[in-house]
Amino acid sequence: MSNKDLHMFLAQLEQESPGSVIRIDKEVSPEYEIPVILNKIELKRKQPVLIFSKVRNLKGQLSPLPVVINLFGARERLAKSIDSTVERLPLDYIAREKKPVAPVVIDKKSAKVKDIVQTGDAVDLFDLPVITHHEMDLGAYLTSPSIWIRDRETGRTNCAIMRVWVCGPRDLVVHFNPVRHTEDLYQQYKKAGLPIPVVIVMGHHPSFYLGAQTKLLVDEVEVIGGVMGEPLEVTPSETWGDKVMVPAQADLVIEAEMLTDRLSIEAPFGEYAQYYAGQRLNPPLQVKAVTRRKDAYYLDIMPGHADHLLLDAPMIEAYLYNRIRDVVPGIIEVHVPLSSAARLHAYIKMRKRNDGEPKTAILAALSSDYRIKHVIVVDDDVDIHYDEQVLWAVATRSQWDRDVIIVPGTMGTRVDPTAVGVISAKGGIDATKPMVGDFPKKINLPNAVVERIKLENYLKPADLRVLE
Amino acid sequence: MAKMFYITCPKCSQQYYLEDLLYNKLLVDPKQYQLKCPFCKKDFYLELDQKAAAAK
Repeated sequence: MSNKDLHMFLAQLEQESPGSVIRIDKEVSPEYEIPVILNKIELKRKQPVLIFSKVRNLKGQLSPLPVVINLFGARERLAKSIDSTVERLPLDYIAREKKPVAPVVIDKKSAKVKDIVQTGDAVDLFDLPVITHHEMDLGAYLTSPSIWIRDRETGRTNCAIMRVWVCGPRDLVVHFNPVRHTEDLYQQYKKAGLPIPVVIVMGHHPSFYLGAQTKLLVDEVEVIGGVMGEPLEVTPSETWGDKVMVPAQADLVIEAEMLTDRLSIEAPFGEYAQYYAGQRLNPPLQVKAVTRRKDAYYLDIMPGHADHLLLDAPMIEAYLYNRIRDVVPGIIEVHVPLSSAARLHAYIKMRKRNDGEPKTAILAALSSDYRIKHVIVVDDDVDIHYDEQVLWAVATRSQWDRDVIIVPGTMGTRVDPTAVGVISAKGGIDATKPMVGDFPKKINLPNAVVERIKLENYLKPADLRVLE
Repeated sequence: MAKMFYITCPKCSQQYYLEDLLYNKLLVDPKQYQLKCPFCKKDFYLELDQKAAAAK
């Protein structure tokens, strides 16, 4: 067994894709500095993983944990993590998701996440280099937690990535999405008058995180194994023993109890749509134990940036593709672009058989994921990975009195500031060429000349370098 | 449109906003939850004049 973990993946990246990992040795503050450095690099249209070796913790001391950020900031890396390609990623994800693999239990002694164990008063979350990301964020937030909660009725484990505010050495507040499965689990425990045992996992192989994004109502730890392509190794927790397992090769695990008899304030926090959530009420957690590897990385996900937005994208695209294909077999590809926070817009490429199929595809897409708000359907000569090509199709192949659908009053997302609560109007544009009647031919360059011309035969080396 | 209830921090005079569920609870009992300003990080309770400002 290969025991996939974050360390193995970063080593593989550094060996096979030089330049995709940048190590920064200058000392930095966890307050804003790392997000600003990442943002400046993103403005240069680059998305490397950044590893900061000297980061201060919340006490102002140098942390022993290097910070890794932007692990998920490029589709190529997500694809690489499951031995796929950017084009194949959504479908390969679905194929793996459908083949769950049960976890294997290993002894604590073999679990790297147990290298360092702190319980009770020995726990101090302020020892961690927890990052404050945006100016109006309430404070330092854990942004990479895969939060594991066991369903009391089915015994299955639900995994979801949620933001967690670090408000004390052993105190946290977690943000719950009220329309997600975790809210149902919260109500189960609340009705029983019980706190919820919660496992917070930070730092693992990217395929672990892809698997943990599943929306299937199954034991999601088994889906993680399926997407990773090997059984996930788990080991008993410090707090609940073998009743609650933790991933054995994670970088860091926080064991906590979520209180169901009270709420605490949480936020403002910069969310995926790039607006601040207002201050609100969410469940508090009391930390019981922190365990970690001796060489642990502290993994951060940069909220509202590619690092955060792309992690969900392959799963959303795969679900949309399957749903639309059931009613429109000519679908070729679905893309949720970064320009819509990789959630709110869906581009669909298809080879239609009649002029009704694009609108059918729009309706199928809108009913497949509550976050999808606008759908644009284009022909197979448009590359949907480029916003400008899709908008060109809208500009030249659609008429607003004929090609637009609006559906009022559907379920959207609170994160969209134009929604009323979770109620949102949605719509789509058919930007495909009509099948009936004449349509002009798109301009093109002769293929033979395109293949014959090599820039290096015409430009000086210095000019070529400028173009790189 | 989203409902945002702007309030002014009594400690640093900076403005930020509350989500509707929290704001409605505070309308009933302002001492029910202590708020924390994202700018100065100080804790405070919503006061009546702030509620009035937010209602506008």
